[in-house]
Amino acid sequence: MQPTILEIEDLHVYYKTVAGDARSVEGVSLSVHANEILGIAGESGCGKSTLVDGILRLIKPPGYVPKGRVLFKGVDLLQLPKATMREYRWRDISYIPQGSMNSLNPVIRIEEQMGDAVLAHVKVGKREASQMAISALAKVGLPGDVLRMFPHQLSGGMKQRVIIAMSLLLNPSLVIADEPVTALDVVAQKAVLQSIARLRDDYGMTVLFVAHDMAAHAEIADRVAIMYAGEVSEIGSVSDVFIEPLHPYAQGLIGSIPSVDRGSVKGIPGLAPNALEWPSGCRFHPRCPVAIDVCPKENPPLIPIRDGRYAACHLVKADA
Amino acid sequence: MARVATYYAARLANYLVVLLIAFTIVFFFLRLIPGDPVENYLQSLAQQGFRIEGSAQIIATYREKFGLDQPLLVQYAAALERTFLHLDLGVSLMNYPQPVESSIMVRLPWSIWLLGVSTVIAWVLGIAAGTVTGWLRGTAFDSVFYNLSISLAQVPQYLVGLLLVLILAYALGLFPAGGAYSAGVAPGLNLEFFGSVLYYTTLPALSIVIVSAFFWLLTTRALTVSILGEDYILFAEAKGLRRLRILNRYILRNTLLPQVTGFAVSLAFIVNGFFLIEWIFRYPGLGSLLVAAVGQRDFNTVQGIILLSIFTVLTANLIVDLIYPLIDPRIRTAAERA
Amino acid sequence: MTMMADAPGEVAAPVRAGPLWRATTAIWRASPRLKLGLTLLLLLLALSFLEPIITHLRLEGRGPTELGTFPRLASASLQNPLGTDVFGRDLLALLMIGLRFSLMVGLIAGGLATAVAVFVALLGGYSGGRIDYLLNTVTNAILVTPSLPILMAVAAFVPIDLVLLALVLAFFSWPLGARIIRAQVLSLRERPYVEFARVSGFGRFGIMFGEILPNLVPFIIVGFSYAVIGNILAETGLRLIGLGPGDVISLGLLLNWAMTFGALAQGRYLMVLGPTVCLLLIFIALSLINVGIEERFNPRLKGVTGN
Repeated sequence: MQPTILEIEDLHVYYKTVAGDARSVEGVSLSVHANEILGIAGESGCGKSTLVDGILRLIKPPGYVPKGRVLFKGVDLLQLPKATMREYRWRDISYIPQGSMNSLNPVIRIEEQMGDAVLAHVKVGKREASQMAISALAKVGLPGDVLRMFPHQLSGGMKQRVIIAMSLLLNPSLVIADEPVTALDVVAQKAVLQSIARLRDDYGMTVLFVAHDMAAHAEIADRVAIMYAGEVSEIGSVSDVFIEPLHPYAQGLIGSIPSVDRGSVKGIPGLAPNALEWPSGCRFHPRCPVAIDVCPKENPPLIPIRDGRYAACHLVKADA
Repeated sequence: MARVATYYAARLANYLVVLLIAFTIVFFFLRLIPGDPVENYLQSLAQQGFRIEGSAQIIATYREKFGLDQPLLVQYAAALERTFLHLDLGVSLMNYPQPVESSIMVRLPWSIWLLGVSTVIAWVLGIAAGTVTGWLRGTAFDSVFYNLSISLAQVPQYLVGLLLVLILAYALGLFPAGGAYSAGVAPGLNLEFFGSVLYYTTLPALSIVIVSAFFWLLTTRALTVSILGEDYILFAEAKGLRRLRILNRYILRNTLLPQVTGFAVSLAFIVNGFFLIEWIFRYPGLGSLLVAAVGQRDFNTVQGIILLSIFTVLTANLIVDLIYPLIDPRIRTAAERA
Repeated sequence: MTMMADAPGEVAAPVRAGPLWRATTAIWRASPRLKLGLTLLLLLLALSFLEPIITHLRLEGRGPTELGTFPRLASASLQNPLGTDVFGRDLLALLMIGLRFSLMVGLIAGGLATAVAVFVALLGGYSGGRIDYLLNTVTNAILVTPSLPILMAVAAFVPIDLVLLALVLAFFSWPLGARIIRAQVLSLRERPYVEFARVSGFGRFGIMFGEILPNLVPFIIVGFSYAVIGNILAETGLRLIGLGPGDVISLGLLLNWAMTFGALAQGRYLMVLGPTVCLLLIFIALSLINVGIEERFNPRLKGVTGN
């Protein structure tokens, strides 16, 4: 087994609202192993993006982290003083955000925006920083000309790749990508997914990859964790989860992927619940086709089922 | 390149059109006046106790001289020609036969000084304070300044002027109540004169600065707060950049650009209140001249000052419109594409 | 940031084509500053309209504007809390009368101005093309014309009666509101529900007044508030230098009397402070209304209020 780069222990992220706390992430524990792509899947509102913001300490008021640890190579990021955390940023952990279209400063050139990521962490001259930028751009298939441009002169897919190139600049151990392909057309999606896969294959990086599109996980992820209503409901290798999903929610998700073989597509009935008022007991029970008596009463914990497989369902028992 | 030229040509054309419309508005508004300028002027003189003989004769002569007996449209055409082609603002009635230009020219430097100093200080202070309060949104510091701005930003400058004059000049005696410099000091290029000028400029400038700075604070703060919510700021933070750098290159650059256009537009409002400030503080600029001319019913001088202010505001707007593409890369490309 | 967009307590999606009343009450509930400003303004208004009763009670039937009712230039006393003027009139009574006139002029001319502003902005913003270009250019032309000098010139030469005054004030105060409303119309025009109405066969005016107008209510209020600010500012400014109908008492006229009398030099500060503080309160109230609404409804600021 590969060493664990990131260990998330019982992380909670809440948002204060006039109607009480919205418990967007509640008790999430995950391990990310070196040189893998761990996918996090789930519907909108399940808390995956909030989880990422929590890991990176980018949660802004009224959001707050009441509980939990985020161990990066053994160091709890949540306890670090701000200045130290700033050092870890980008150099050790980089981030490909959800709204990549808008993540570039509209009024300064690409060269400067890439350069300042380097200059903030490494003592090099501007010229050397630009050189690093050029080689990073090359890794995602973009020419050096891009440097002199402004963001509005680039297409959506190009902007996304610039962001990915930026994330490589300092050879971080961990890259966290939050819905990197959601806003792109299929052709651009393919290119971006390939670039992300290369991070793992060619550059030995570890990627935490968040997407609601199961097909994206199928393409590049090694393992996948499925989130529902602020909690993790199933974890396993991509092939295991796709071939034999254990949790009813996972089954619903996999079953809803359109396929050339199957004639029909099954959805999951009902609507995603509200973070202010999660359903009692197992949060999925109102929509679950196989719910039993105990489901509305007790929230099943995430337990290991067999080697590397975890599920949080009363109906799924551990192998002996 | 031809496309950029088209953009500039369009802006220039727009400027001329607006100038024409503004001029027309002024012209017809002033023509609302019943009777004619000469008659009114003589009347006001009479009210002040002068004896006027043969007034009918005088009125007829000057009416013809100033072309006031022509139909309105002819007068309009003549005024257009005179003002724009010959840059002739006419002759002052109260200082006849001195042309309006010379009365204006004498006073213009004082107005430019007061207006210039106040506007620049207000802009700089307001933007700096606005950025800081936006950055520190929610803190006590922000609350104090934010609430102060709400109270003072939309108050007429002359009210603030009155309060300042009352408190600081009369009640506390800390500053002079009027004038441009101390009576005992001779104007000249010496330190004593400059010092006196600064001392006397303080209260009028302060009246303008207080209102304008808080206004800029409000707009800048709103802009800063909205930009702080932008994705690229979050990303900059995720990159691990220092806060100062984010403030400078990511926030300021994005808040300053929209403010530049706002500056030119707000000039009209600043100029508006400015005239009365001069009057309250007996400042020897165009404002006092305007009030005096209005009081004396000196039609030409009034018209001249109004036209000058319109021209200044519009030209400032045009200059901003023309240089804006040079500083905002997004517009530059649009202009090139347009 | 994207996660915050749906947090509870936010002002949600645009109001559907429902009665304007619903839109208006939603606005009232949305902002504490707005409530404060509006309350202050209504208090001042109420006070000024109750003035006849209050004055009657205080002065025991003696007319507030009659000369010589009280000793001239008396200092503040229980009977004359602000003192009396050079003609022996009670200043507090005059202040309340002036307050009423200043407010009325501002509000009435403001109403006129806003009606024009809404019409121009809606028509131009929605129609686009040449109509919009024309209307927008006219709007900008008036906006960049410094109104006060022109008003001064007009007031100096023309015997200004109230109707003319209101009209002229309205003429210069509508463009600001029009500009704000037009910006909103431009953005609303592209919304899906407008397009839906269009393909459903609604006519231009039906859409303008049925779909777009209810969502303009906050901005109309802001435009109205700016117009009132501009009007009171202009009217007071004119009076300050002695122009306008000399028999109608407004706060500006009171200031003019105080200045020409030399109140400051003689240490009679209350004569200046009274009207000035009143005016300040009016402007603060209006400013609170503006800021209160913009905090909640300015699309750039949505969800990012200061406190």
